[in-house]
Amino acid sequence: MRRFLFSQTSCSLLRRQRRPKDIPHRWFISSTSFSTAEYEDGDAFQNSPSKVKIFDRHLKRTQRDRAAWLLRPNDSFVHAVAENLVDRLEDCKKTFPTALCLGGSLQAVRQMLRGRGAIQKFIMMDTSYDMLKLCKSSQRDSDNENIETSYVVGDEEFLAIKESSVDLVISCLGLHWTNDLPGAMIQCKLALKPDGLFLAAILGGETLKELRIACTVAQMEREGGISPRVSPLAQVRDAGNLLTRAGFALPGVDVDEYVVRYNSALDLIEHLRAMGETNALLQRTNILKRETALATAAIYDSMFAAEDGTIPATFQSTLKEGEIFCALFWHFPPHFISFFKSKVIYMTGWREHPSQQKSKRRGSATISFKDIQKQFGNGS
Amino acid sequence: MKEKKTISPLRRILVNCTAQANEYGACVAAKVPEVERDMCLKEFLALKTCMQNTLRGKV
Repeated sequence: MRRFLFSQTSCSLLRRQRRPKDIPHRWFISSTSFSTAEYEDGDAFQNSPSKVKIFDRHLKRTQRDRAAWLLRPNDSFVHAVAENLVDRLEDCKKTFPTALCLGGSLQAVRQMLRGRGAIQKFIMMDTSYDMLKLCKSSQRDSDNENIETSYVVGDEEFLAIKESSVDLVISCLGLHWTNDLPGAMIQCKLALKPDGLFLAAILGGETLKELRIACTVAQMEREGGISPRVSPLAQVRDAGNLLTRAGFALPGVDVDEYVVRYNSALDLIEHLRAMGETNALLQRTNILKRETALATAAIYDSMFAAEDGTIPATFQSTLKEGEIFCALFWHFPPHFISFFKSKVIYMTGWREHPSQQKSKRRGSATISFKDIQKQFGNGS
Repeated sequence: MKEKKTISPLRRILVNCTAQANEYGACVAAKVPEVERDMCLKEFLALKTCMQNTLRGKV
């Protein structure tokens, strides 16, 4: 009896050191809506034989834990992307009773949902326990919809969801940190019921190109060499291939470019940190010398400043080849205001179902284009 | 949790040393893409002394 009490105290002490807030031990023996599907560290997690490892998933989880505490509740960029993603549910006549939300900005998706798609059961999945706790507490505060939500701690690459069990899989800015994106998408497809929808938004293309340039130039000038600071991102042309390789029917890809303004390069880094998007490459150097950081900030501000002193940062996500300016106002007085463009790639795919239209067989055309042209007249 | 009013040292440096940072940035920006090590050393040393003054002045 005494031994059991001792282990319980030491456990909670350890946890108190690790996290800023106290987590009562009873969370793990808690209500029915909470389940853990966490894998043992080391064994199955990162040592699969034939996978390419680009990202350090343990570090990413820690960063997401920190982001859970840092993220402001109404972050405009994340909400804009989530709103765009969830809006696509309204384009479908189909309803989606069961939905799975994978990583990324869970809270934003939940908030932006507002009854679209007639979702009744919502499963939220994330590698970070703190992020799920944040979602759970924020949902408790603003409980306006009757959606039965359950929270799962799990990895996007090892989906613990039964096959053909969900109607909808949403992932908002989460999949660009997976080591094996095709594999993750294949698992999503398997989890979908026939005629189920897969919606994903990932950062791609030229996102953070300014930051990458500034980092590289500064590092070369100061240290004479470079190390990767910005992760490799999928291109738009790859997104279509990814969808077909995963086996989705009716694939669709849009890209949207967001230009986000900041006061300085430091605010950009703070925002990235708050979103949990900081560097988690396995090849990263843990060292960033103070001089190099200073040089990067100075170069960013000077190379990419706009007329009114703002600096840009690119997040690429094109929908209609337009630029959407989201101005983020921070607490500090504007000395330089930097903006950056970001590209977000939206991918949609459906699990095949007999009701979906298929492309016809070659040679089965019954009307020729010449006849159509005669019908409608030339040049119209 | 980080208190929002705490200003990180790097930010303080950038605020105080705006002129030097601008000069250094302009020097590098002019020479991109042929960037070599220590090609803007003079400007950077000016920035570095300003940085050390800022840190010493406050600390």
